Amino acid sequence: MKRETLQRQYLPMSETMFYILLALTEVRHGYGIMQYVEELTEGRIRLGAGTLYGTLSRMEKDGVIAFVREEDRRKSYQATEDGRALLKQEIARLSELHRNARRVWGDRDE
Amino acid sequence: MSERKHVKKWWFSWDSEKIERWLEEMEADGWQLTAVTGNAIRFDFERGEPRRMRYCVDYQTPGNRDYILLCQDAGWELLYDQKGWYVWRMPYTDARPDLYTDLDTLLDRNKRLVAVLATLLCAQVPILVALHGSLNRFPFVYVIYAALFAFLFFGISRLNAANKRLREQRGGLPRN
Repeated sequence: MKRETLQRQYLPMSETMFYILLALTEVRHGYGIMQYVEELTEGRIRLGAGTLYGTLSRMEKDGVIAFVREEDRRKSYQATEDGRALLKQEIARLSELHRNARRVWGDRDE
Repeated sequence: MSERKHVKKWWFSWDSEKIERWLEEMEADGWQLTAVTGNAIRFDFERGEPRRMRYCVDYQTPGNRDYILLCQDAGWELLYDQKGWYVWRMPYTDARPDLYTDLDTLLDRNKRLVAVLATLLCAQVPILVALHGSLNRFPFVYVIYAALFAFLFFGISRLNAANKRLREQRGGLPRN
């Protein structure tokens, strides 16, 4: 898929997409992603199995992630170059959000 | 001997939530589900302790090994797996677990069901055309077909309405 099409479809990213793609900067299988995201967000995000399966299928079809190997019947994936490019753009957007939030909101405590 | 009961319950592909809720209520009343059979309309129960059990009905490609394994890893127990329909359950204490935790994938699931119903609907057209000549002698068959068409249309519109509601809940523009 062309980069522009991917950008249009994936950016800005849903939280689900973002964390799955972030987890796949390393090779991981489905359940590994679930555990990693839960740990990273301190239990806030527990990805549903149907949601994870659906998102992985879609990302693989779009070439954002790729199948790496099968171990113990479980398929592992990793972000492709296109996937990493999307992630990088999203992180830049989130950084801008964060910067502006700090600038305007400062560290007031309401 | 333990108390058992068999219940036949009809449900439609577009309101699987109804069957989920019903099963969860049965469990809360101490009727533990032991088997789902007969195109997922026959439910066998056994008397036991009331349980907080989450039931989920899903539709995927039939016999999808990767999907099944992922759900099992996540702690779901598979009770039924026929023709693309899956019935899952998981006991819980606090937060009621869900198979779908974001809107996009839930929308996709409903779209898959719309595709199935639309295929069924379209498949009737060549059959009707092929039978047209002989059907003139049995006009009542048209009535049956009209009912079938209405039924499938109803299902499709229910699913589309559900998706519209989901999108409005999110507020923003559709992703694509």
